[in-house]
Amino acid sequence: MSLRRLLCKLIRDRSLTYNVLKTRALSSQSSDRSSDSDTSRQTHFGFQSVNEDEKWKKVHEVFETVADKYDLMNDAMSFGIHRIWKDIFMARLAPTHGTKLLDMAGGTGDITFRYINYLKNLGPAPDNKSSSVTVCDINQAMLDVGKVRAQRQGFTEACGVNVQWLCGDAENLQLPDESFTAYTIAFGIRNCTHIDKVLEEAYRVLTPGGRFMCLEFSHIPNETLQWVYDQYSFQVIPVLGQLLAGQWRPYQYLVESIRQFPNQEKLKGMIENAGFRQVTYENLTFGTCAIHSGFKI
Amino acid sequence: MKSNVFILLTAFKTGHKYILPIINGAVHRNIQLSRSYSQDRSHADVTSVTAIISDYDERQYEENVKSQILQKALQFVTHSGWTTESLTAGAEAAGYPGITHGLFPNGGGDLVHYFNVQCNENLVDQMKTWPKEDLKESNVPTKFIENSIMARLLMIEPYKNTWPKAMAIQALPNNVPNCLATLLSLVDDICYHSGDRSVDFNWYLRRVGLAGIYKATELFYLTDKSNNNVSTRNFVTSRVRDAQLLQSALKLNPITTAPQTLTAAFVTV
Repeated sequence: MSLRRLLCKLIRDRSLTYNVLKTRALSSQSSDRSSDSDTSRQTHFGFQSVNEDEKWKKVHEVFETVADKYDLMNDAMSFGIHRIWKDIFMARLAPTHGTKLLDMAGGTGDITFRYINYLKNLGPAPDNKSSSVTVCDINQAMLDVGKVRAQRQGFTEACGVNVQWLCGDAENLQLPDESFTAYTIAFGIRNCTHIDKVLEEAYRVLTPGGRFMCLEFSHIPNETLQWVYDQYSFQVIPVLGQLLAGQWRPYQYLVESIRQFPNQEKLKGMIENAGFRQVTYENLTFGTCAIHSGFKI
Repeated sequence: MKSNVFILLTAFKTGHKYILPIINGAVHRNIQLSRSYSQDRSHADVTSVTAIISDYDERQYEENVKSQILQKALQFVTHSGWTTESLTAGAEAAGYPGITHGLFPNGGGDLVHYFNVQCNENLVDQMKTWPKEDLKESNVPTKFIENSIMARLLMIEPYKNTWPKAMAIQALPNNVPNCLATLLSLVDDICYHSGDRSVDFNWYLRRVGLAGIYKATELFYLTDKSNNNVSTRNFVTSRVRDAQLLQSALKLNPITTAPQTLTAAFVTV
């Protein structure tokens, strides 16, 4: 009897979730473009509608509060699979000696450390080629975590790759044009208010031939799996957040923002609109994540 | 006259059908819907036509960039083999950063494929200029086939040291479709230019047979140390002769005449 009640509840929840999904546009662009005053521009923060200025602050708060527990929670929520995703991501990028990487939203250094390791495994670099990586994040707290990890794990000057840490906004980079040969953004583009601006900036800072790569949560094409995934996201992840990090809201935001993010094809279209060519994507774990890749040629 | 009446009748009929819903007000909306749809479609048509044109240009541009990089990458094959490393060097030589090698997710496989396609095109151009006398000499243009196989094999000459690796790369499951496609186009071109216009089962036999001969010769060629590749040429000659023998043997065999007898039987019935 109780089982039946539970099932009923699940089904009801499911339809509720879908209704919410249907009614909201799957894009992070401001829903009120025609309005003149900036203050009334709305965007979404999870399933809430907030002013654009507020989203920035709210995202900032989220990551400030979770920075120290970020890695633990990533492991707990994805059963450690996020490490494999990031490994695959780096294997697809396949950096070579002489690559100048901008690791956007790479605060805790997950992508940067993999990049350095990949280059190390390639063997010694020729004398005329030096690789570099610029870790850029909007949040100083995340960068601090990354710096500490870099020292602890021994990614220092001695490894032959020039590492720089920079606090900056992906939508408005304080970096010269055509200064990087690769741009990666892993689990970061979702938190930006204007994806199109981020992509434009990415296009601007890349040299011709440069590669843009994005690792981000995406949408599962299979309905049944999507349902299972929804259940896990809405019933388990916020609880995990509460238990392990002592925070419910940030993880509620996390799963909601994943639902609001454009699906694979739509993001591909957005990347193409920014001017990138040869845009492709690859689904990871049935589409939970997707790697998008584009070239500035 | 008759048709006019018919049209009138159908118009009346359909009109009659629409009268009722109009009263209900339902069709009014339907008409609006269909109108807006048709407008949309005309819009979509215009944009899609331009989109197709620009799409084509875009793709052409992308293909040009790719072949430019691949062309440059071939220079580095003797040094670093059919690898991503060569592609990286090629990209750098073409004025792009090394990371652009990501345009070729198959790595060495894409490079080998490009090389094969290039060689096939070269061979076709060459075959077009060859004298046609060879073709008339006998029933089977053995000389022409031998020459074309040799010409194609000698294109591998500059990369002979690394070619075993290339063959191995071609045998990898994800490269097999491309490899078979280039092989088919190669033997198809040779058959066509040697005057094969068959439309029966021989079409398949000739191509499969020639593909077999080509691949066998390729393997032989890899270990051929003889001067001017004389041994390879002898090898081709004897394989082509084998094929000829096989064909004449099949012709004598009563089994091959069986289908003809069968068709004849059906036709008379």
